[in-house]
Amino acid sequence: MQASAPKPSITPSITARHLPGDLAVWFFIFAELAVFGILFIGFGVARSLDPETFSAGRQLLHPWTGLINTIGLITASYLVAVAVHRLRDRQPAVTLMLWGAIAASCIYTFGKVWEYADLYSNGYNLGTDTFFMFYFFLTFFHFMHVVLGQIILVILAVKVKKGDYNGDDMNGMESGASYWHMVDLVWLVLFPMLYVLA
Amino acid sequence: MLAVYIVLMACTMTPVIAMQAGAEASVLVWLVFALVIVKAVLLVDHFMEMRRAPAGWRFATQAWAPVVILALAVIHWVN
Repeated sequence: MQASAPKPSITPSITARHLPGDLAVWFFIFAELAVFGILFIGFGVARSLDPETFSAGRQLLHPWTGLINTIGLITASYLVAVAVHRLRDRQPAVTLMLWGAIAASCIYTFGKVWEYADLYSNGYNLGTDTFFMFYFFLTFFHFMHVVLGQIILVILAVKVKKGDYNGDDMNGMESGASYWHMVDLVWLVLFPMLYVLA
Repeated sequence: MLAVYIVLMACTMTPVIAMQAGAEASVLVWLVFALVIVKAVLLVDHFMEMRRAPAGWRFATQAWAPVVILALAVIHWVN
């Protein structure tokens, strides 16, 4: 009697160690993290040279707006992580999770635009002082990454809806998700650095 | 996953609430440093799924936030 071959798992959950997403995306992610890391250390050095200016600048920011922005980004990251799990396990509502993540991330983009408009209308800009130079440069650089991440999430949602991503090959989905989480990771340091520590 | 999300939310709100409540600046700084590291490790391991990645990649990704925070902490401490 022949031994029956083991049945393939219905849910292709990961058991072996593997890097989520494409290797090239990870080189890009590390390059981005290195750039942000250097900028953050530059901020720390500049602050140590002129703590009064940084403290005065920080008091003009809106910590609750920063907090709401952070909640938006973390919620988006959570929904993206759930979407990846659902796609891998071939569960429904992956597109819904991705659109939910895009909506949650829009809390950040609207909050940031409102904050820029408020500061600008009160006469603060890139040339005001060292604190605002760092504030506008760092946050706008990060903002551009968020917008790129949102575009990637829209592409992922459309591809999942069309059936291009169906859980057979997770590379595209994991690559997009990893980029999004990198954007969130950077904000987790940037938010307290600007709004609490400065 | 939901538990990680809730912990991340709590860690995010704590320093802002502490600041609004008038926490001492020296305490707040170290609280923020510690919470950022906790949040970064949770995000990398659970949301990025790096706990299933090869050890070197996982370590490199997890190390980013602690290295940046350590540098900021040293700059802060020196001054």
